[in-house]
Amino acid sequence: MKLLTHNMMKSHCKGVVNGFPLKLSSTQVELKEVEFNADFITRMLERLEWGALVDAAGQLGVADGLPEMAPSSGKEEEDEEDVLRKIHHVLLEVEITEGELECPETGRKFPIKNGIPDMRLNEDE
Amino acid sequence: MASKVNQKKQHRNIMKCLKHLADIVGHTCTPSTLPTPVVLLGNAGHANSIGASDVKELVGGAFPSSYRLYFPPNKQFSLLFTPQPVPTLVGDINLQKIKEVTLYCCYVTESVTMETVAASLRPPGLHIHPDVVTVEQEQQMFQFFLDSAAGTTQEDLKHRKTLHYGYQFNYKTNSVDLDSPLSEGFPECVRNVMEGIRKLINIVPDQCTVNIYQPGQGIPKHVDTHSIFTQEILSLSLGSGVVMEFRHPISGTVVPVHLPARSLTVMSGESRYLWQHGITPRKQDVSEEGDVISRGIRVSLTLRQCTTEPCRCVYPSQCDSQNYGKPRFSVASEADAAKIEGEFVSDVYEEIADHFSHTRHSPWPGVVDFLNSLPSRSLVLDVGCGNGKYLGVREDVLVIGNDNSANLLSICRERGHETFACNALSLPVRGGLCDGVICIAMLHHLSTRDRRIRCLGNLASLLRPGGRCLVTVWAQEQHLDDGEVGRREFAAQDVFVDWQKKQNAAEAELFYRYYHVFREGELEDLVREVKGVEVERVTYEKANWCCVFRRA
Repeated sequence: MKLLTHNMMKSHCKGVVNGFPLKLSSTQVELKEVEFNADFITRMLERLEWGALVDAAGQLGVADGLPEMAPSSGKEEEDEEDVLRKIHHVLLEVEITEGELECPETGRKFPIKNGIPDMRLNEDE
Repeated sequence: MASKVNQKKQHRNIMKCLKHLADIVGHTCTPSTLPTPVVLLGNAGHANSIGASDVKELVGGAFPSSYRLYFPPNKQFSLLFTPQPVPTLVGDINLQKIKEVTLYCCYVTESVTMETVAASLRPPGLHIHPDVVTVEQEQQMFQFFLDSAAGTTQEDLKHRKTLHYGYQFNYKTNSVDLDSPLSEGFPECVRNVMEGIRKLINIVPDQCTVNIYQPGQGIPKHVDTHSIFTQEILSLSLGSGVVMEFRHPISGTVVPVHLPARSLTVMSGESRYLWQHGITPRKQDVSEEGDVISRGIRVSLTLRQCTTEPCRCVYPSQCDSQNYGKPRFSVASEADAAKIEGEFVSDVYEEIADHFSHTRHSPWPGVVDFLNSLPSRSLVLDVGCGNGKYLGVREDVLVIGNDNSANLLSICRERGHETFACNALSLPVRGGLCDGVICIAMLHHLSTRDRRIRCLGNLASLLRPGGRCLVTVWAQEQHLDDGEVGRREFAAQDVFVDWQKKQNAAEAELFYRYYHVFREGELEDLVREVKGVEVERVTYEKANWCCVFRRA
């Protein structure tokens, strides 16, 4: 599971008011090379919940170099590409292969096995 | 003197043939050093394109009429049965060339007979009683029916003339109308035959269909309707014999059976209720003894007993009384819906994942076109992504997949794709993030209208303003765009479609998947129930309804 995916996901347990972000714990993390494209990262910036991304990256020890606030698109900044590359790395190249997601309200755990989070609920949940 | 290499080759060939023979007769078969009345002819089989005449030519001299040849269908060996052991036989013909292949032969220790081999190959419950009528009776009936049919016109069947007595057989329904008996009873000649065969049968026939087959005519393979006829189907062959083929509907095994003229064929048990039977339209047959037999005009009398009792056989896959083994659709609650979708969608996909993935490798042009129409560097969700065949279509678009089947997602993972597992009725995703969504051949697995609308609502909420979604579902009408006729539409909208998972050549496991197939306009109507989206277009492509909608 990539951190981009984690940032998109929220808990869908019954009765949950705010299921975002899912608490993340990992026992196995892999790095996978993905071709960088500045446009894609720029397009994603406004869709991300930045705080949750920084927290998750911090948990995995890959937050170094991530700005505290989301870079605003359109503004020419020094080292802009470097920042985008860093964000690219965090979003797409860090994969949690074994771990767990947890609903922030109910505590319901969702396993991550073989890189795939299992968000399936039972009929009564 | 055979070289060591040849001896090894011969031994291997013989042992392989004996293994196949053992499979047929149900006990081990071993080569005998001493002469026996059973000779195995390796490489001289049906599958080697060898016939009786080839073997007879090889044996040479005057081939005694007391010698019998037997060619098990589709095998690479045949059997030669002699009344007494012939000590010189194997020595004379072993290692000879027969039509460019080398014949490997040996005596077989076990007392296998032609009758036991033939009977072992036949579908269980099939019995052939030879000479149940005299030549005179045969001649008389043959002429009688030809004369009776001379005046009739052929309305139902292109290929052969038919006559009916007792009850009219309806070829559209494959049944009879028991409320409309024919005024004509059985002709006297038929009543005489029935008297003669009484001891051989367990039914009292009240329906008779006469088929007149010209050489070259046949009848497609079928199982006689279970609910309307009882446990035995009788067939009397007059004028000419024929080779009838029996086919096991699940394994696909085909067994040819010779029905001699004047014989009574009794189909009961598996041969009546499970195996299909038919006659290939051709002018010659090859008998089990490897001889080419030309067909003459054959008159067959099918005798059956009608019933109003529903069938309670143990072969539900062929049984109309048991709905062909298919589940019946009935949803009265959300719990029912979830149960059907669990048992007949989720669980089945988990079981058939590998097989299913093998059959789903070509991306549809329509879906590819939609993905190509999205802006570069888009983010897309594929809801119900299956084996992930759309996840890598565009290098410049990230498609994340989700599916309810962990096994299918493993396949996606092997291919390097990003996925998560969930049920489409409850997507654990923040709204408004996607440039595009695709939902291909998934919505039709939801068993109530309400659930289908909820799912569409979930798809819509994934989209950013201006984002677009493609949904495809199976159509009830199967051939609106290619002019092909003959394939009917689905009989109902809620159907169970079977899937055969072949474990090995002989056995297959049958699974049923639930589908709600869509009428024209139905998908569109459902999308219009979703707030905040507009239908962009609706098309019919390869038996599927496709709808693209856009979030305002």
